[in-house]
Amino acid sequence: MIREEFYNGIIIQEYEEYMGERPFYGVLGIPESGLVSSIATSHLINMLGLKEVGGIDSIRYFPPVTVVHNGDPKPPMRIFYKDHVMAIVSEVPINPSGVHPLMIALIDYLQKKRCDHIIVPMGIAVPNRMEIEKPSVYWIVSRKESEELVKNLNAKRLEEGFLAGPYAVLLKEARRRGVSAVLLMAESFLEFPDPAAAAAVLDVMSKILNVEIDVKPLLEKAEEIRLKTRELMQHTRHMLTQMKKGYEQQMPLMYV
Amino acid sequence: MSSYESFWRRVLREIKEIEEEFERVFEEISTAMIGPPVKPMWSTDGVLEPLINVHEEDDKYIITIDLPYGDMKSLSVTGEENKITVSCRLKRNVKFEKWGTVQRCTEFKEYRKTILMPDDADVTNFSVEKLESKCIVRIVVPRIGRISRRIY
Repeated sequence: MIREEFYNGIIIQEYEEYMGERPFYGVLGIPESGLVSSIATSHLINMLGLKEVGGIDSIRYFPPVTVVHNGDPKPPMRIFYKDHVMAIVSEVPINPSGVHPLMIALIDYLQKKRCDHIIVPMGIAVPNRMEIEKPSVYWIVSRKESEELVKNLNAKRLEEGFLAGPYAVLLKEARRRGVSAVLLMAESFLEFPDPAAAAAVLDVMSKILNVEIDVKPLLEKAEEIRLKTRELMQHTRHMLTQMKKGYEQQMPLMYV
Repeated sequence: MSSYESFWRRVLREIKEIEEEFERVFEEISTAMIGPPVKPMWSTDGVLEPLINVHEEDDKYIITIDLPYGDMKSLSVTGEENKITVSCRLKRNVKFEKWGTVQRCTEFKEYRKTILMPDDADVTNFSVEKLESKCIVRIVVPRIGRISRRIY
């Protein structure tokens, strides 16, 4: 490890020096609705061959776990990087008490790494997901200028509604600071892992990142992914309940 | 038994009840703070526990079950007392060379789950809808005494 930084209870470690090519994109994958964010970011890391360059831990906010990969102990959140893309992926759901400090720490860190745009692939739960064959993708951005990234893509702007959870905090904080954040939301299940929604959001995200991401292997392995991620989904849904994820299915008062 | 003994028995019983209440509240608080106790959703005899969602409506409960790799033809649903029991074989035995922390070779053959339903669920009168392409099953369980309606 070459560096360790502390952000209000969050520890960010770097195993090697890295700085992205401009424009530099930071992709986040935190367990959320349908695990879309985690599945999409993990697939991106595998497909682009991103290299592990750091990790994130917290004594205060994360469960006392160490993730073991190929015999190496790792922190629950890992940082990957290659060329103009970095990705941060979490192996554990975030406790509601840790959401604000973590999101603020991530924005601080991404700003420090001169990240030009934060890109969030995620799911937005819809009650009729069972009947939807190809999930639609919606977007929302923190700054007007960021609309340039998404406006000609196969995605619709999210016009009205609530967002709840880590990315709601990220969007508010990015807007407050004038940081560019793009949330790409595929229609998904709330409580079942949804690789098809992850594939839909990756289709759009690949165009923003200007990279090729083959989603065929993801769709082929969809059932295996759903089977293997049941426990993570089970833990995540408990956190989602506490984060009032149900808000996302209601309309804001002023538009009734 | 002397009144002295009976007094102390009562005190001890009340202390025990307070202790149990403390334990219950502590468990509730810790569940709210750090999540429910972590338990595996699989067993070494090849059985997997599926993810389920129970949605409550005025006149029915809707149970949705995620059964990836499930062989929908083998789906079995039974309702008994206040329970719905679901089992479903996998399309083929699924073998993982490195499963779990111990990285053992593990093979799974079936999903099994018993769902405890509220008292007003008519578990003998359910209907089942299969979405074979997505390996998802929806079970609709009517609520007793909630079907009659008055229109004003």
